Amino acid sequence: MAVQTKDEVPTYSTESPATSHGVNRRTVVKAGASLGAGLLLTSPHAYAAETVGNVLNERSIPSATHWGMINAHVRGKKFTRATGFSGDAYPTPMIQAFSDRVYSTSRVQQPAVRRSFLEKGANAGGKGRGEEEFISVSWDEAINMVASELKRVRTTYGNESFFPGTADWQSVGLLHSASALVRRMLGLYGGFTDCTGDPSVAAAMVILPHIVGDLEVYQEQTAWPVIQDHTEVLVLLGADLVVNNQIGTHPSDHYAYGALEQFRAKVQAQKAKVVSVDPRLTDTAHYLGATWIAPRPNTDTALMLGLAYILHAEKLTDEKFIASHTTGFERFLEYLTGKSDGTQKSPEWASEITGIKADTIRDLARDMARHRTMIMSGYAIQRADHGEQPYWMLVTLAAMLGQIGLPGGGFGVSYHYDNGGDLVARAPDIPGISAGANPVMTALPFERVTEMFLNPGKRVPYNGTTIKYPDIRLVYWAGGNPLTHLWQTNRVREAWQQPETIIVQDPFWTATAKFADIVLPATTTFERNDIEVCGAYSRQYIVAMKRVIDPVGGARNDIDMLADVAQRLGVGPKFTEEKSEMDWLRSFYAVAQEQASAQNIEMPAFDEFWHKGYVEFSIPPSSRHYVRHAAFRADPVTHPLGTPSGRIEIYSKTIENYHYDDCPPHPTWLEPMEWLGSPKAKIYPFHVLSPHPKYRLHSQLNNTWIREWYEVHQREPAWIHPDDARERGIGNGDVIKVFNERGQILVGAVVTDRVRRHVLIIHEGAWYDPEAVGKNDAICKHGLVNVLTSDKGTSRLSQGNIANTVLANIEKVSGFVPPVTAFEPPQIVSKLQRG
Amino acid sequence: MSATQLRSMLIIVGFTLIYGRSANAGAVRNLFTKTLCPLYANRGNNNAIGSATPGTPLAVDAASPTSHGRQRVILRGWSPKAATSVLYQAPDVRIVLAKFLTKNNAERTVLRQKTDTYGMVWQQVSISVWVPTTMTVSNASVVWARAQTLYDNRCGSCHALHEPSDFTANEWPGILDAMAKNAAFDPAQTELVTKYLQTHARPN
Repeated sequence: MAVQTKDEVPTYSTESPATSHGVNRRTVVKAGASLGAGLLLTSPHAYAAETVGNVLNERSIPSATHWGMINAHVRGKKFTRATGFSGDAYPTPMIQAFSDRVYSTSRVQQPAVRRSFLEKGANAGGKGRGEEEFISVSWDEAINMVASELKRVRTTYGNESFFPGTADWQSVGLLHSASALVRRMLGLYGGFTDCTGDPSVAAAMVILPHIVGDLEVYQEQTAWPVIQDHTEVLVLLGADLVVNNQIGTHPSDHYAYGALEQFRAKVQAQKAKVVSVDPRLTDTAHYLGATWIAPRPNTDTALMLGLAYILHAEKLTDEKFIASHTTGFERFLEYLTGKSDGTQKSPEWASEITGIKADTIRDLARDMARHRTMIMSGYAIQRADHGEQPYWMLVTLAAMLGQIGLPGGGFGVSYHYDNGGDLVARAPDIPGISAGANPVMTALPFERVTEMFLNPGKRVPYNGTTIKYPDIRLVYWAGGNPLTHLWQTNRVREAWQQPETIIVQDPFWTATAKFADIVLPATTTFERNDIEVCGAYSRQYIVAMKRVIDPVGGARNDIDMLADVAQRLGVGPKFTEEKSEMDWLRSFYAVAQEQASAQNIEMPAFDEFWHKGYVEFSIPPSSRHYVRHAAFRADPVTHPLGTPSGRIEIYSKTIENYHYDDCPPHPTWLEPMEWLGSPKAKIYPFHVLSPHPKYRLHSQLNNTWIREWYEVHQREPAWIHPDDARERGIGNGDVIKVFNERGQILVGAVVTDRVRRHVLIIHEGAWYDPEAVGKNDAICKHGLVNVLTSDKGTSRLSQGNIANTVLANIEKVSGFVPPVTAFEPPQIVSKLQRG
Repeated sequence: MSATQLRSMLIIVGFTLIYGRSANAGAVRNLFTKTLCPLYANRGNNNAIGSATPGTPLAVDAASPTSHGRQRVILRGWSPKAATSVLYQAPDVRIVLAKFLTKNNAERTVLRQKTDTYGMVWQQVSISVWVPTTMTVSNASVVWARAQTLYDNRCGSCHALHEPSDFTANEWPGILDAMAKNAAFDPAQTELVTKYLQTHARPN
């Protein structure tokens, strides 16, 4: 990979994407040294030079995204629209916004540095972040500055003070993964402090190994045809399959939609029933015609205890399964019956807590016991204070029903995610770019990042161990938006002032970029070549992600800018392995070919694959019959679970030994730090839930026209029950302020009976837009829900986030409403103007 | 050094002590399987009766015969009384050392029997088998180094690399079961990395 020499300003290629073979052959346009790259590109000259290509001829180029495999259509040199892959019967409407996103005015056009950071370096301090203007600089200046900051910080504080943080949801592609690439570069330079876990499932992935010996959340689920044939009662526990399967960790193949269509027919023929337990009426519940049970938020454990109580009281528990496949049930039973704490967990008790009628609980328990019942849970219920408990209780309830490992019975925690229940193809696997080893062993859960910045050296308990917070001095965030996704934004803002240096690589002026010191414009998926596997579970396709258009503005690929930084740090050849973009893709494909050949699976040569755009693998008939935990059920001695006992641990001796009062050794109802049943609800009478959005991937696509589909007065909507709205004189479409002691946001009211009383639904991921930038407690004009959330951990066991444990109050806003500026770039001064 | 690191080091030290002691006692030394290794009941028969996972210790002494490219070795471990075809490292540390066909004619000696805290009956056994001489090494660290390279290179593409001590020996196989496809491990590589992670895992 070529290193930019001085005076060369990289800009877009003059080659057409079809003939391009990667960055190393890119034609570099020279520009005057005094000109910033972006100036050149956004000037009329760029438009005048754009004569190549016939605007009336449309070409279609295969690509892939988290939203699925697509065809990108190009007219002239412009990416005009995206359509679904021919093999995808249910492409998501969100793909229509892709081309708008690529050309968004929120794109970073050229490298930029915060003014005082440019003038004073690390002595600038962090207070001016997000407030000061940026100065545009050349790529060469920017890369030099990044490299010298890395050198300075390593020399002064050591490698542990580097923090790349980034989680990997920016884009698919086995090569151009910004999060892997930044780790690769920092790893080669001696290492960094890392994040562990997954904010989606932070509590689940710690508690489930203790209970079922497996992360479970990423496991292949009982196949949908088995559900179709056998399931009689389907219980959806905070799970919205219709909304969430639009996207996937790998390109979504949207298998769930066909499966749901068939299951709906079964429901309509009255051969199955669906119950949705959720404070809101989900799209899935609506689609399947489910019975809707709307408990108070965060009371799922109490509800399930009520169900378990009936199973026990009416002798509906599968005693045989409990005896042969679980351990510790007797200890739990003492709690359930009140022997250990004096409280029977009766339906009446559960009713008090959940707000669900005791008879409803009783009927549901009987229904579940008397039919083949599958409980599908989303992740939302464990993103709450003591979020370990509902998952533990869910497994316990399923164990009492005794249908785990039976066709169409038991529980599943990945049906809403990555099209769980998909059919698995007979396909080879394919690797991606390696992040390599990290010589620094320090790592902590994502949820503790804010606290880490604020309390270096502090020790916190975590899953039986202790974490010591490192002293972070340099943040290098590539692809990601922590100012949006971390919890309790005003505290995040305070933490974000602590590091000496913050470097951000991103295609867009996200809040995180605006609050950085050095910002490097990155390409989007459509501006580079890559390769992917489609269907996180099915692995049905290997797909070519061809470069659709030239890089927009002064953007460069993450891998290329990091290679340049690595070069200056003396680890360039190790970083690049002297491979071009296409060399990498060929090397990944070669591993798959090797595996295919070992398994007698046919696979075309790379060039043939690249020309066609994908390889499809067949689904063997056996995939249709997969039942999760069938082997364990059949023979728990030969196929034990990964727990200490090899069985389902309803009581965990391991957790008992941790002595955590916020995570006792069996499933327990523990009051959340705030909820509708707590005294605090008198001051803050609404419980705010922040599910995944229907028309975004977290915060991605918010900067496109698609927001017009859901925004209210340019703000994120808040669902509010008609009675709650009426009491406060709030009408559909009013702007309201939602606030608590942690912050305040403006949102647009959507008055709907699809939400339970005293609950507000505000989807996560609205771009952050503080009214007064310099103030850490400024109102967010645009409705970022994390301004209201807390960064407390679920418990000392998993320290997971509790995004769904939020009380707040609301008030109608009348008169002047400040305009939304979330999508506007910051003030940027060119070098010429800088003088 | 973090507590988890310290713990994993202690495991290694403990491991060395256990096997080191037996070496002194009877002039026995350990070889280790290099990779997934077929096990035979005798020197001549070509039908394997089972296989040992990579890095499994195989006790040999000066008297251990070598013939037809095979060597007689002793495998030691624990099996549930109700499932004798699987050989684990210990009742509470279910690292699979070897798996056998349900019906096999291996020379198997029960050394002792115990009931674990969950009521399951376990047998410590010693099994005499033959292995190809080309598939053993005298130092397990060679095997673990190969595994670690593979792990480091493949497992950090999608998420931060976990320390082996982030999970227990019992938990790792299920995690690999879900993740091996993302790392594009073939079955032999999955066996190797699983065994490496289990051997360096955190205690229960």
